[in-house]
Amino acid sequence: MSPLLLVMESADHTEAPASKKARTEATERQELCSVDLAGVTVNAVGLGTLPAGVAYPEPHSRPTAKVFHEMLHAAAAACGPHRLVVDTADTCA
Amino acid sequence: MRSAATKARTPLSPFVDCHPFSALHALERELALGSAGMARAPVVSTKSGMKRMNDESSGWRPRSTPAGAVRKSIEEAQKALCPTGTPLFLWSLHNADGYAAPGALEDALAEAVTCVKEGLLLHIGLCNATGLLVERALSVTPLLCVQNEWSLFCREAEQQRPPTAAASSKKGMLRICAQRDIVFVAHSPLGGLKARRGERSVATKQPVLGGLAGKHGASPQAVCLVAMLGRAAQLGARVLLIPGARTAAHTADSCSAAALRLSDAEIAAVMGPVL
Repeated sequence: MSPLLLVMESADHTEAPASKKARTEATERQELCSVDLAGVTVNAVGLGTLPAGVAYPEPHSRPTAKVFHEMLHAAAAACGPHRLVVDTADTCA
Repeated sequence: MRSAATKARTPLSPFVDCHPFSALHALERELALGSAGMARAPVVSTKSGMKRMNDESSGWRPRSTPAGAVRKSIEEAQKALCPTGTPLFLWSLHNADGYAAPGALEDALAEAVTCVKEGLLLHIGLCNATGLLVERALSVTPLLCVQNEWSLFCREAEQQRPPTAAASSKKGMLRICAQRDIVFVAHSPLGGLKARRGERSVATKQPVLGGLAGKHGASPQAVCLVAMLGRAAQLGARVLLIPGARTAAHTADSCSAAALRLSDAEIAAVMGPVL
């Protein structure tokens, strides 16, 4: 067994139980991070959007579909254990 | 996470948009495509009832609302966002404040309720709503969320609703939602389109954000978002912030903000006293 693993195991086994204050803070932090949306736990910060191609006043600077997909995946990954919420809206015909 | 100095040079942008798509529901299609294969697909909130006038327009305008318009828009959104035929998770009436005439809001929401019964969507919300409209809506259907503007530039949601408030007032919505167990969705939390245009900035509006950003190793925008969440918690409100962005780095920065933690004093430094 490597020394590193020994140290990790030791730390795991000797760590004192979380204090009441620490547990409270962890609970508050969890509550701040997430929102219960009809039983689905979502990240408290989602991704706002406007309709494709009609809302942005600077057409030259709009993200491409590839960038948009990258944004989705980056945001979802940043949400940790929570689901990402994406807001969309109606588009012009 | 990027350094605070880097973030200061590349502030979060307010909105996501997709170029060069301009066809109906192109973004929704890209959302469905981009989410394919994700271990946990995003929860999509959508809405209808308004439109952009043209490619250069910065303002929303109400769509005409012929009979059946709500149902048609829900059917379109469900088809675009849920290609496998599953129901929409959440649909909101976009311009609730345009349905103030007696019976108008109730009729529109009754169409949405029918769509729920038929399995086209699961939950209903309101956007741009007043306190009175929320009460009227609740006589027709439960509301999962209300989406109104809330930011350092627009504080009416956070303010107390005075007894003499006009019917059109949107003041007090955070507390109204808390009392009714409705999620408050804050649009434009970093200043919206005006921030994108450079006409305003949360970092300029509240200079203390710069110092806190350096202290916490986060962007001023991320600190602003978590301060807003802290203020919402102080008011007992469940709040979902939906800042926009134009890059993957900005979206990741925004979403990771929820994991930051500020003290009550730091929240007060950003948000000021409870209104």
